Amino acid sequence: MTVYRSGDTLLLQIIYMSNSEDEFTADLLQGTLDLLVLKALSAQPLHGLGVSTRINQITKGTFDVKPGSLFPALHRMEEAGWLKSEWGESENNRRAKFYSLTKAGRRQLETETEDWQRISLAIGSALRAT
Amino acid sequence: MSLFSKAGSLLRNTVRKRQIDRELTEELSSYIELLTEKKMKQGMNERDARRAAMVEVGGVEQVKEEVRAGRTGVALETFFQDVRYGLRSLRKKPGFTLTAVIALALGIGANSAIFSVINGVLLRSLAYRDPASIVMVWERSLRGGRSQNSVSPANFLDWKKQSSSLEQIAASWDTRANLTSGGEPEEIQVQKVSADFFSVLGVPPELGRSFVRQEEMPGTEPAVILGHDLWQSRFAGRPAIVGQTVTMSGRNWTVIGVMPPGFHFLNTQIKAWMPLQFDPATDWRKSGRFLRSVARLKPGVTVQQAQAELDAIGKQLEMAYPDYNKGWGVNIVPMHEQIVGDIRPVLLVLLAAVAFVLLIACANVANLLLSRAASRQKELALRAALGASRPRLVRQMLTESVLLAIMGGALGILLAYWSIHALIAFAPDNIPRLNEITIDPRVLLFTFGISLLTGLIFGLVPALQSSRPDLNDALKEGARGSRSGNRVVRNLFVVAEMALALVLLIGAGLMLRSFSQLHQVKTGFETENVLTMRVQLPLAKYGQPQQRAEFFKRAEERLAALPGVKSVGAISYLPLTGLATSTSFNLATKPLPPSESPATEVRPITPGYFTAMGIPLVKGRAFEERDGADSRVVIINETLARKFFPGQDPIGQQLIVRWEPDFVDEIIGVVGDIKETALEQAPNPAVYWPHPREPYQFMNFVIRSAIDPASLSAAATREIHALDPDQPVADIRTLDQVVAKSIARPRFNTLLLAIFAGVALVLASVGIYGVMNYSATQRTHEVGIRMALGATRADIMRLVVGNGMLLTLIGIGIGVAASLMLTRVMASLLFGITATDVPTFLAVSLVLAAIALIANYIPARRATRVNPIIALRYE
Repeated sequence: MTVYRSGDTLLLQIIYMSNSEDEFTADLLQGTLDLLVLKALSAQPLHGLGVSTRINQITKGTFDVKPGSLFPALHRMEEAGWLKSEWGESENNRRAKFYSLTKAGRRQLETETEDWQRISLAIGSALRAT
Repeated sequence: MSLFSKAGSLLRNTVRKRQIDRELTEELSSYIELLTEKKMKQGMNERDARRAAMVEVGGVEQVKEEVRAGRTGVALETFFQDVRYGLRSLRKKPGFTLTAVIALALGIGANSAIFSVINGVLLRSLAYRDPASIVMVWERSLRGGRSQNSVSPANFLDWKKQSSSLEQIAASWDTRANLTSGGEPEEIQVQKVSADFFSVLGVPPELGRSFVRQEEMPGTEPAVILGHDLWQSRFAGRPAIVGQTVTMSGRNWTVIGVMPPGFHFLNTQIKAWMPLQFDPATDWRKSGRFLRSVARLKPGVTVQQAQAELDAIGKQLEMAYPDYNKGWGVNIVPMHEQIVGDIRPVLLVLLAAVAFVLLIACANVANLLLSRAASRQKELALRAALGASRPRLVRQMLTESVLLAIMGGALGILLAYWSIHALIAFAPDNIPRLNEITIDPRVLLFTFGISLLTGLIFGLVPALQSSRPDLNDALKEGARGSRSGNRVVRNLFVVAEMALALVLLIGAGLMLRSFSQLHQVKTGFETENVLTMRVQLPLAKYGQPQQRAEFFKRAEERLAALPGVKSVGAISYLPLTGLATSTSFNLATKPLPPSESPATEVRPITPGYFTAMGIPLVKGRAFEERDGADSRVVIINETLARKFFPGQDPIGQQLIVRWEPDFVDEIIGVVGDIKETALEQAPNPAVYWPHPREPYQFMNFVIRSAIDPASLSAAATREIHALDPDQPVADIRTLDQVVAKSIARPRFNTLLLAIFAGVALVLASVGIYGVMNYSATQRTHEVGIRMALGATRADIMRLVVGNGMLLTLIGIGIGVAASLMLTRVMASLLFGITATDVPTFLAVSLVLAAIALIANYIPARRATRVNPIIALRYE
């Protein structure tokens, strides 16, 4: 299903695979992917490959989102009203579908960012605790 | 997601499905193009770049499927798609579909039919107002061991006066009347009821009024309430009937009301209601117990509280009237329990039986599906390769099996509809509430629910089994389908089917054996070529005892003179009709107080009775013409003689039978015992009196003939009409029919269980045959190799049959063990055998094993006929 890069993300991958059985973990991780997509689109409209390249850049190569999880996420978020899409020309004049954030998408990005920061702070302090 | 945008998406996804799909394809191909270009920029040549891009995408179809799976409304869309696909694939295999649907229809239909009976009889509430607070109030005879004895008017009146937990209590008494208005004279059953009767049950008349208190007093103008059916059939449903008079039993009755259709109290044959009158001048403690009483509890009073209060009242009455009430108590039975308590165990056994039939059908269809799944493996593998996930495949297969089950359910409900009609037609009329059995929404819901459940039960295992195709293997040309896991599951089904079928067959076997025991019981009389009929004289016309004695004497003479008639007699109540008059008696030499005296049945007869019935005279003489109204003679049965005159000659001894007034009787004869109450009950002590001494207004004629007794009925009726043209003749039937009717209920139960067991046997045999046949086919290749290596036909036979028989024997073993535990619930339905009857268990196991052997043998034989060369090439 989703393929993340390298050793330390193996766990995520396995959990994601079992998403049909465990909604909570699935939501959490789906949320992570959503957050990355929203973030990637916050600067400018991008087509599918653009989104995945951008994510790769901004995560310094930690996440490499494959089409198998990218497209379902894009379509789902578009249905949710966070993204809108239109056909346009790519940098080398290819026809491609460009995604951009809607107002709701921006709001979603803000709340998700806050949530994520709270969670990562909490988990960070939990891990530092002795 | 907002509801609005969700609805919008749903609409878009459904309406513009094709365009959205096209765009998705385009989007993905543009992705691949872009990725290829990116890779080329990184220095790959075009071919490698494209290849690498494709690998990274993984599979366009799978990605598309993922995207589709995430869309709003996908569940609905998938569902319709699955249904369409399912219907198409079922249509492609009509043989399979038909077999499965028929098996399921049998199982579901049987369940729906029995459930509709249970629904009508047990579940539906009674057609009275607030039926839960209606109770029957019986007397309980501690000494006689009868918990539901008829009620004495004296005790009834005292309960009514003293109890505070009962809102109202009413009494009823079933009797007969000769109706002469509105057509031919007809004997109808009527219920005499106290004034509160209709308000206790909470059902007002549909026309007119119900009885008032005054009408309980003797001397008021006779009033009658008609039943709806009688009103329709005899009086054309004219509303003007209210206020008019009708003639019954020689008197004129004013019709004051008509009851709504379907209204009845314990007896569905009742056609009209009359006031039950209590003459305050009568000392009812000198009369017998003959009423039924029904009461409505005060709001908030429980059955236990009412029982406790009436226990106390009963104790008081026992102390106050020891002669009459010693050893008698009060017993309260909730109305619903009263009506269905008796039939509940039978219905539950039947429900268990049909549930087993359905389970067997499920196992059968599951096996069919497994065999089919093996041949569908390639198709499934292809779908998996094209991106169908496992849950998706499972859902698809479950949709198919639920479709099958619903088709089975639809056919099943038709089966149920027909069989309920047959059921009601064949059912004995003493099964309560039969007229309330219909297919109502609750039955339909039950059928639908059980169909869904069935589909899931039989579909789940095959779906899980076959949704895990090994893509490589399955897609290869000529790969062999069967896997060992599959075979184990199939074998388990065979074992389960055998076990279930055995339990059912043993249940049916026990009922059959019990019934044949019942059938072989010696009645004590000869039933062949005997016609019986009842004549009830109206008291208004035959008020004088000697008029009645004279009528029956002359009728007997006239009947005896008919050509073909050998002998004629008459008795108050025919044996095995469930009715008897019973009282206490004493030996003249050893009188006891009434409460300690032994009980005996009392039956007035005419002189010809014993000869006509074929009851042997053991000692002494029978009654003769000279034993008239003033005679003090009595004939006793062997049971009474044995119990009370052990080692003595009873002839010439004296008895005092408690009657009004008591007389000392001389025993002049002893006759053989007969089954009076029921075939399964030992005879009670009984005394016979000459009819003129106790001239009952009704008598049952017994006419023994040399010719077919049924052919005599017209002539016999003519003879009665010759004496009195207004006199109806009722219940004309042969003595064989009387006996058969007394065991109609066990016969019916046996028949039903036997039918279900038969269906189970057929399903199970077909099931084991199917599995064995399939596995033999699967093993054709193996058999070929074995034969090529020198195995003989006998070896192959042993191999194939041995395998099937092993499964059968395991199934039988489990079935016997389960039966030992389960048949216990049937104990109350059995007569003359125990629930663990060894011959039944043995015989049934052998029959099932034999049938399984045949089912195994046929495919095995086919396997041995295989030409090794062809078998090796087979694929």
